Parts: sequence; C-alpha cells; structure tokens
Amino acid sequence: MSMVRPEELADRLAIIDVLNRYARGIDRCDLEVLRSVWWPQAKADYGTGEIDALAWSDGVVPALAAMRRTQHFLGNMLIDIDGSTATAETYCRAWHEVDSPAGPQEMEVGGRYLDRLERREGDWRLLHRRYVLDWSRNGPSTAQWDGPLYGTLTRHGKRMPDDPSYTGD
Amino acid sequence: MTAPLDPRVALLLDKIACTELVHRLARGIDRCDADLVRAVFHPDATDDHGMYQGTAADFVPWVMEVLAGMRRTQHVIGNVLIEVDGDKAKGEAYFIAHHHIPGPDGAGDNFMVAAGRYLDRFERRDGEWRISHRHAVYDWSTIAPSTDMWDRAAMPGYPFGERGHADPSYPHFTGA
Repeated sequence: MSMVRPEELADRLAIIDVLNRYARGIDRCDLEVLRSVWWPQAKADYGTGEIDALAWSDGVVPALAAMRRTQHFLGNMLIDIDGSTATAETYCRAWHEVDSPAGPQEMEVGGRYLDRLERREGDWRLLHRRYVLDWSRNGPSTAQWDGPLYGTLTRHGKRMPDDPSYTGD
Repeated sequence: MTAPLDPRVALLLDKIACTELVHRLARGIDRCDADLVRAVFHPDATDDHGMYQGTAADFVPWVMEVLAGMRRTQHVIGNVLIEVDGDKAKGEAYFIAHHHIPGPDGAGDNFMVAAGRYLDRFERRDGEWRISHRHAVYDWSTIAPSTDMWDRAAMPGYPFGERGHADPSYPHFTGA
C-alpha cells in the first residue's frame, strides 16, 4: 500500500463513491443504484462461490426488502490504485432487523469487502467482490421507536422511494 | 522540477495519507501483523492506550500479547478529522472496536465492544507521513455473551477472517 499520488486523487474519490453507492443501493433496496456499481461481467462471491454480480443484485433486493431494515456501515477503506485497476479492502458493520416467529431479531455482521475495480472510459466500477466474515451478533431486537427520546425523532429511514433521501421530507 | 501542487490538492493528499495510516494500523491490529503495525509509526513514536504508555516500539509486542488472548477483533474506523500544519498533523478518528474473547475459566465466549477515539499526531519526514503519537480515548463499551452463530470448523471454504497471512486480504492485495 503505497502513498497516494496527486494524479490518483480523482480516481480514489470515484472509487470511494462506488463503494458507498453499493451500501446505499443495498440499504435503500434501490436496484438501479446497486446495479450501477458493477461492470457487466462482474463476479461476486459471498462465500458460496463466484456468481454473476448483476444477477445476484436482482435477487438480493427482494430478499433485503423482506427484512425490516438494514444498515451497511462502511468504515476503513484501503485502496491500491494501479493505472486503470484498483484493489481495495473495506470494513463493513452490517445491521439487519428481520421478522421471525419469535419476534423481530437483530443480526449484526462484521466483515470486509475485498474488491477489484476497473476504470473504463473514466468510469470506475467493481469487477470482483469477495466478502469476508469476521464476527456476528444475533438476538431479539431491542429497537425502540417511541418514548420520551425516540418518540421525538420521527424521521425514520425507509426503502426507495419512501426514504427522506428521495422524498426530501 | 515539477510544478508545485495546488495547495488544496496538497492538503487533500496529506489528509488521505494520515487517514490511510489510521486504516492501516487497524488492519495491522486485526490481522495481528506486527510488521504492519510497526510500519505506521515513526521509530521514536509513542503510544498512550491508558493501560499501556510508552514507546510505539514496545507497544507492538504488548498489543500482540493482548490480541493473542482474544479470538478475533475488528476495529471499525468512522469519522476522521485531520488538521494539517506543514509537516505536522493532528487527527481524531472515531473507532468501534469489536472483540470476540474467550470467557473466564472455560465459560462461553464474550463479545465486547469498545468505542472511542484515537487522538493521533502525525509527522512528515523525508516526504513520508507516519504516526508520531497515538492516544486512545474510550467513550463507551458493552459486553455480553457471544451470540456468534458460525461454526467455523464445520464450514470449510467459507471466507472467514483470519489472523496473519491466512487471511484472504493478503493474496488479495498481492494479486496472488
């Protein structure tokens, strides 16, 4: 991991945008945004083998929509740029609230995305993504939305097109 | 002689270099990679973790021993503020550190989360930024019995994070 060269600055910021856009696509269940992060030939491997990333995206959005809510919190990003290709590691703390017969459950997963990206005609996208699992935390949901504090924080995250980031509310 | 950089671009590069040091240090800790940790500090750097205060050189074996008593960790870095002043910089980096640790006397594992901020001082020497002092400040923590559901031994081939060079990030970055 070398020092950043000035000419890489725009590339680096564009790559960070792609990484962030993935999380936005996932959490807002916005298929168009999610599909926009991949090249057509892109592959993804979440642990069950390499699959077509666009086909995976098409399938994962309804699966996410069936959950109550998710948040993919991206942290540390290490990005190596080599011409028009890049290699990256991004930390992610993914929080999910899902329904179960025993009531809503929280599933939190700490992991990392190991990515290869490519720039084509000025546009950076993912060519290959591997997901590494580091830890998980699971249990009955303790989410609270009312009461003296939470009850005053009324603007809740939603999925596309109802989220405040779309509606402007 | 190349043209001097636009000062705004130069500032951006300095901030990225310092931020990357924070991220590389987290990676070194989570992978238990003493070489990676050492590489982010200047040779005369110092560290104050509260329970450890001393040189960064001695911090490395100290922290490796602490980590050896844990099963796995993930230090997620969030907000990073960097103030650059010539060849020196100050940083405040928020962290949420996750630790999966064996329980006492063979009891079940615990999952401990510690959150706080790294107050770093950076210095550029010979054109290279490194950390000259790290001060860890703790803001909050939680601990509870581990609810990790993965039976790693029964799931060979699954991409679990590892310590050291067994982690998939090593071949990933070397292109192997």
